[in-house]
This record gives sequence, C-alpha cells and structure tokens, in this order.
Amino acid sequence: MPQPFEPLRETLLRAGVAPVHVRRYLRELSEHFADLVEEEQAAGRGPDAARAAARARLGGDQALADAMLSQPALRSWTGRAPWATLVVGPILLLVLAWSLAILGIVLMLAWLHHPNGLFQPPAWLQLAWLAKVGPALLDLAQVGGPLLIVAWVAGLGARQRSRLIWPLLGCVAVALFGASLHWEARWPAVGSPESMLSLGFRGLHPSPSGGALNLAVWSQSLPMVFFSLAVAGAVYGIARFRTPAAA
Amino acid sequence: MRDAGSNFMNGVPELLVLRCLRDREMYGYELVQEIKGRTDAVVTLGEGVVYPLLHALERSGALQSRRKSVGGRSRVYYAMTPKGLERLSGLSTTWATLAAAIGQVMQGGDHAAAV
Repeated sequence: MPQPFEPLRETLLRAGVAPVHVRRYLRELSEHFADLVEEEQAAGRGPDAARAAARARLGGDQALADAMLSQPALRSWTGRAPWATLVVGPILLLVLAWSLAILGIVLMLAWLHHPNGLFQPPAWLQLAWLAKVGPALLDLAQVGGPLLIVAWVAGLGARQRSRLIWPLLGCVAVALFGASLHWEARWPAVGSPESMLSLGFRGLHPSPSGGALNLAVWSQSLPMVFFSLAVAGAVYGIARFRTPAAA
Repeated sequence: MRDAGSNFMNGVPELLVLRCLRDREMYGYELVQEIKGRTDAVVTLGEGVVYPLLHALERSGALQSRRKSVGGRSRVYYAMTPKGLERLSGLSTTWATLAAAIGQVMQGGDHAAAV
C-alpha cells in the first residue's frame, strides 16, 4: 500500500524539523487517517471514496507542512545551526575524546610507576596486562576517535537531510584534524621504568627549505584522511538511501 | 468562522485544545471531534494540523503524552500538566477580556479596557 505521507517526511526533514517529531507526526497522521476512513465508510462511502474524503479532511501536504514549520520549537539543532552541530561540535567532541584519552593514559602511567601508591591494583590485575591496554587505548583515541566522529556526522547529516556542504565540511575538518595529530608513548618495561607521552601535529617540523610546515611529513596523514572520508561516505550513503520507514 | 488559519483565530486553537484536555486525556482524532462537537462545528480545526500544536505544547511542558492501546489500536494520548493549567488560565483571561471588549464595541460602547 502506498504511504500517503512520505513526500511530507522529506519536506519536513529538509526544512530542519527534528526527525523524532517528523516520525511521530507521520505516525499520528496515519492513525488519524485510518480513523477518518473508518468514519467515512460508516457513513456509507465506498473504500476509495472514503480514503479520498479522509485525505481531504486531513489537509493537503502543504498545509500539513506549514503547520509543522510554524512551530520553531520543533526544529532540530541541526536544522537551526548546522555549522554548530555538524562542523564545530564534532571538532570539540574530538578534542574532548582526546582529552579523556590523555587523562586515562596519564593515570595509567602514574599507576604503572607507583603500583603501591594510592591506587593499588587488585591482585588479579597483572601490570603487564595493563601495559598492553595503554597502547590499545592510544590507538583507539588516535584512529577510532576521528573515525567514529566522522561516521556520526555523516549519519546525522543524512538522517536530517542537511545540505551536503555541512556534513562534508565537518567530516573533512575532523578527518584532517584527527589524522594530523601525532601521538607517541613509551610504556614502562622491565629494566626500563621510564614512561613518556607526547602529543603534536605531524608536519610541524622544520622543513628542508626552512619553513615551519613540513609537507612531506604531513602527507603521511593523507591515507588516514582518505580512509576516514571513505567511511563517512559509506555511512552517509547507507543512512541517506535507507528505506524511509526505518529512517 | 471556519477559517482557523486567519489572524483573527490566532491563539484560539491552543485555547480550545487546552480547554478540552483539561477535562480528560485524548488522542488527536478524538480531540478534533470534541472541538467540532462542543462548538457545533463553528470552529473546525484542520484535522491534521492539530498535531504540530500538540507537539509544541508538549515540548513547552503544557501537555504530556503517552502511547496507549485501546481496542487493539495504539494511540498517543495527550493530557494536561500543571504548567498547562496555568497557561490555560492565562489564555482564558485574555480571551474573556478580548471578547468583552469586542462585545462592548459591537454594542456601541465608548471605550474598552486594554487587553
């Protein structure tokens, strides 16, 4: 059976109405439509005539869309300020994720250095195992953080039918920022108890020509940038072209 | 006065929705029929356009909703909150003042109180 309100879904999402309100509106309209058809049939109309009368009583697509758009409170943040939710917000989210990762690593290093201090590890926890978790956390923050965030930006942009420019800008910014960061840690080992954590941007080394930016070093980030954008593109495609009922 | 979208009707759908929901919780179709019945079909809200108003009132805290199955069909029921009662009280006062002022003008009185 054709879904009579599907064009309305696209109109509302493109206009920035929050998907949660769009889904509920369409569901309520469908239920209302069913009630009206029942009422019209009870009044003696045939099935087709009852459906047509019910649709007319509900209002045209434009009137239904205008009613929703006249309520600014029902618009999503992505609809109101796409630059904030799809560009600036994701970069801040990445910075926050990194900050938490750094905090976790610093605490872990402090613990590894002073296992008998304030934070005593439980007996079942081997320090050798803990030393393996540290690098994994570092890899997760360095590679997984930007990937998760670009996937989220792409999915959000697609679901809310934002103009392509916003999720694209957000994904490029996060991918570039994420891949340009360079982490390095040395974990304490038997016979070498020192540890070290450094954080910097690739390419901020003096170049052979004397400039502050060394493009040859920075270009090592490019495969990660392209991989992140490919993941974002795949997520965008899946979210954008999924069946509307599941959106 | 069937044109619920005219400027003169601004605020009236909200007032009627809140007044009807003061008595009991209702779902959208039921609410539209209730308004039609109580106004002898003088005021007929566009049947589909009542939902954005309900969503906005819920978002502002004046209403709350819950999904309930009745007769094998699932419906979203809306009910009044204390904040909604306050809003209804304010709107009712404004409406009563406005109606009295218009009545005074129609009867040829001199000056109406400011709304």
